[in-house]
Amino acid sequence: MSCYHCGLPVPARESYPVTINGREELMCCIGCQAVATAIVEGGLESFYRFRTEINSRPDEEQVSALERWRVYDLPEVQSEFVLELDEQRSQASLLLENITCAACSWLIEKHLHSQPGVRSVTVNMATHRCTLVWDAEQQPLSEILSELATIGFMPHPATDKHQQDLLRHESRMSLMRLGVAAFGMMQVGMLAVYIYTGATDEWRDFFRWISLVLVTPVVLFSSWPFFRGAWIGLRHNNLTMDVPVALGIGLAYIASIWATVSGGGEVYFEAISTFAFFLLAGRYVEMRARHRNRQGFGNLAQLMPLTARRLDNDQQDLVPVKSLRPGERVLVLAGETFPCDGRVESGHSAAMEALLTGESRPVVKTPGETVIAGTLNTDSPLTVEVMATGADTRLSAIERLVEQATQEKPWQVALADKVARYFVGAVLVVCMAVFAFWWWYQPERALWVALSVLVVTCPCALGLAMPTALAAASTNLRQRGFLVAKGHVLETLTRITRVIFDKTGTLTKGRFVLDEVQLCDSLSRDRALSIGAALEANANHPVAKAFEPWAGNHKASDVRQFTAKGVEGRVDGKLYRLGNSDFATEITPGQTPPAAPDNTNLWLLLAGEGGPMAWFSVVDEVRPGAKSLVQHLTGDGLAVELLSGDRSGAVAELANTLGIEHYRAGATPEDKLARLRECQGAGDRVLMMGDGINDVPVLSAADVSVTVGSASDLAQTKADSVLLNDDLNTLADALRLARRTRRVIAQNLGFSLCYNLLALPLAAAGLIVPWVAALGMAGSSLVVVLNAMRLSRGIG
Amino acid sequence: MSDALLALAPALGVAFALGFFSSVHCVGMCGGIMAALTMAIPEQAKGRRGRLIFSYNVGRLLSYTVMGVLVGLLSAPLAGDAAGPWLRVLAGLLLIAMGLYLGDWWRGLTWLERGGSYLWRYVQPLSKGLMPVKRAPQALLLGGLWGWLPCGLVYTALAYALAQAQPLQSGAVMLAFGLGTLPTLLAMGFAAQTVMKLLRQRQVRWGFGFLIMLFGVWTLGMTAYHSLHHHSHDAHPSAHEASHEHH
Repeated sequence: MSCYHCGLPVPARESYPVTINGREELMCCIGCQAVATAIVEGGLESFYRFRTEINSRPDEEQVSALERWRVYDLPEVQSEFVLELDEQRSQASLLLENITCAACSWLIEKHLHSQPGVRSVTVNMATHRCTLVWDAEQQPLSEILSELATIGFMPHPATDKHQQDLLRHESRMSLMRLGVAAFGMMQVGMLAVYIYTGATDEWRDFFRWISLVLVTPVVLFSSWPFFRGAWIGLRHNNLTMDVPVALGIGLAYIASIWATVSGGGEVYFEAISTFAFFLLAGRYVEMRARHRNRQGFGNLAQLMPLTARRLDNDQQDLVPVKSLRPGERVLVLAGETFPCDGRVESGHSAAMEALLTGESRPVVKTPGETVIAGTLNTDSPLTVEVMATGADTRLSAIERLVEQATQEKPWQVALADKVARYFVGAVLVVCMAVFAFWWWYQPERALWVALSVLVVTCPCALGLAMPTALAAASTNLRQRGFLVAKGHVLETLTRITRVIFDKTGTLTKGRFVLDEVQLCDSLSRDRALSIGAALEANANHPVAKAFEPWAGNHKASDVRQFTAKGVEGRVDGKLYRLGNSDFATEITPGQTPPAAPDNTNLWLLLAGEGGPMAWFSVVDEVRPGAKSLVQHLTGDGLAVELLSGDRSGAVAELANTLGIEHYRAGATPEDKLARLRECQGAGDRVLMMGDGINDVPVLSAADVSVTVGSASDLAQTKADSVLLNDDLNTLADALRLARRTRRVIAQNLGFSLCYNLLALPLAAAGLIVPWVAALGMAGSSLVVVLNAMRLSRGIG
Repeated sequence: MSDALLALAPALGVAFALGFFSSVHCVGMCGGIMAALTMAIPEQAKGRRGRLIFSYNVGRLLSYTVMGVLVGLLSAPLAGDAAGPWLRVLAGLLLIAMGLYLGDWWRGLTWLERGGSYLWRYVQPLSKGLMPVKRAPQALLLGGLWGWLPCGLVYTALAYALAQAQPLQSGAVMLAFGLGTLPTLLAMGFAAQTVMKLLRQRQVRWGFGFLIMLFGVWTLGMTAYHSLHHHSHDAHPSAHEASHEHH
């Protein structure tokens, strides 16, 4: 119940009624009762009818904490941020407010694990995202969210709008707090100069009072997050970094008030404001860097348009993208973003796919080719058949993989978090000892020395050292078309000793072209090709594409495809077969299959009822960068190997062209797995590169697996990472950047540990004043973050 | 700056802070007054609204000052006597009570407000003719009348003024109190919704309540200190003297 007049709570046992607009309303105190009565008697009763502000807010407050979260149990609401993993488990992506350091994430994880329904919780310190897996049967989401809110971390669904809002709000509040602290610091600093440069006692007292007034907002407003964090931490028996900071500021403030009021002792107003300012400034800069870094992840979904032009019997409707269904047709004008994954039906244009694949040149799109949601149509209008929308698109799949990678804590990060936590405890013990010593030695300095020790040794930098570096490197790689889908990838990449290409298809484009024709009959070359093209016209085998340029002169009927053998069909009434020689000659009675011209290339035989007619040799185009990748890998001392299920001599040819020494053709999946285990048994760390089709066991047994994105179904991929573009050199880039990331992490860890170990004795000796300590703490975090940021640009 | 004023400075500071911190309590209550009074003024007429709000507050501050002078006259004869420290003890206790009231921990001050509401019964009818407020003099008068609204916060400040035991100084203390309430009330009058939201948070009220309790404890502490160390005339419980002792 809240006061009808002012909105404050109405006490339980007293009541102050006033009749307003014919109803008895309750007030919270005599004052409000008097005011309301006066307003009513003054003829202004209608005021209560027309006001909007005051009553609306109490209503909101009245809703119980749990009630507020109920809405998140609704399936429609959940659809935006909850993914059903299986019958029992659902996964929610949340954004949390008020996360300040590693201890917070630990607190959240610990606290939520005590909830009956919670299966797993991971909190990412750098992005403030939390992935929650819970059993909806056992506990509704609202209860868990309400728990999060009670321990002080406001959850929001991790939709992009919320994310943007939250970032903006966080940033604005921080700036305001920083501004107030800066203003306070300058003013109080000036006054401090007057005080110390020989003001008379009267003036000194006067200035102290003014300082008190100026520093109060710095303490109560600017430093509020520290008090808040400390309170939450303490209430849950946790020592977060905010505890010492809040203790320091609070004690100094009270001591200073006492000194001001009693006119004696020391005031620490300038120390408080300077201290608060530098702490806040450090946090602010760090936050900015973090936000900027996150943009790399956050903006994927923003690429999506909100509406699409749906074509309905040649009539255009502007409809929400959400309402598109597979099978419908949409028109995408030049300069527009594709609203869905789809197949081009008509039109010729090009698409900018750089954001998804890292490919900087426009990709030509002609009828039959696929377009990707979120990419840009550059040249002219295209009619596109919708194949996938919303959560089924490649864009969405990529986003989920990115998310998965950021949520998975590599064990080193978990370890660093743990170390950081123990560090806080150790520092507190040391600090107490230091305090005890100074209390005995110079009691008036004890508080400040202890505070300096606490602040200067904050393990914030330690907590940030790894997540920021990993995030920056992942973003950089994603922009180049290398998608890191598992948390451990960057680290494992640095320890790889052997690279195995699982299929020829990973090194080639999978796009066959005709290389050579050998005629065995009186048939002309053009006619042979034309018949071949007619037979292959509707086949979806990659080899069929090789005949496309000759299509159109003949039409085939009764076409049948034989898996792994070839095609059969009638052209001008005559029966033909095209495929391997055994298969093709089956239609010629008494004919023994002829041998192929050589063993190197892939040869297809065209045969009619009268016997063999022509041999076609088709070759697969080598991917750009394949050769330089192999050179690069061998140059780095890595063993490179090609295992192919393909039996033809093409494997040897490819291996020779690329300079791969070890290769094997005709390997079954079991052979590949055995070979992989053999290598691992010999101490190798193996990177396996495949196309993700039928090779999941082999890929998942490797230390790191990479799939080629254009070939595989991203939504189903189990691979550790995905190469989204055609350029194999990207893999070399990834290896280089992974090594650089390791160096940066080592630098960061080394730096933050050295800093903490150096600063501790200095501070304990009383050589560091608190604001320098604050500067040191903020500075060390900043150094770590900025060092990590270097990974978001360049490769070497 | 004259010596007398300088001597008074801490008391004025406390009163100002008192006003400032306690105004979180009346944010809603007085905000309602402002809004109701200026209801007749169109939203666009910002200048006119501003003038009315300003006049109203001047009136209110004047009435506080008058109250201060009155209690000063009342307590002046007691100054220096044995009653002096007791007045300060009363002020200190009331400050603590007010802190508790603000933090919503103990609502003892309600009893004072009940007392005040008897007085208000006679004042309130006078204000009827002034509403709705259209011109500045009206607002000024109304502020002067409504300053007498039963309000525990004002009474606490009055107790503090009482402890000054000199008409002028008591009046000055009340004026300082009134000035302290101005920032919040003006911010409200000019619809700074975000500030209001902040001020109405329970934690903020707790914080302010706690601070005011600190003032109360300090007042009590200083009184005890003075009565132990100075049995001489000592009209002002100021920090001024305390600071002299360090030399």
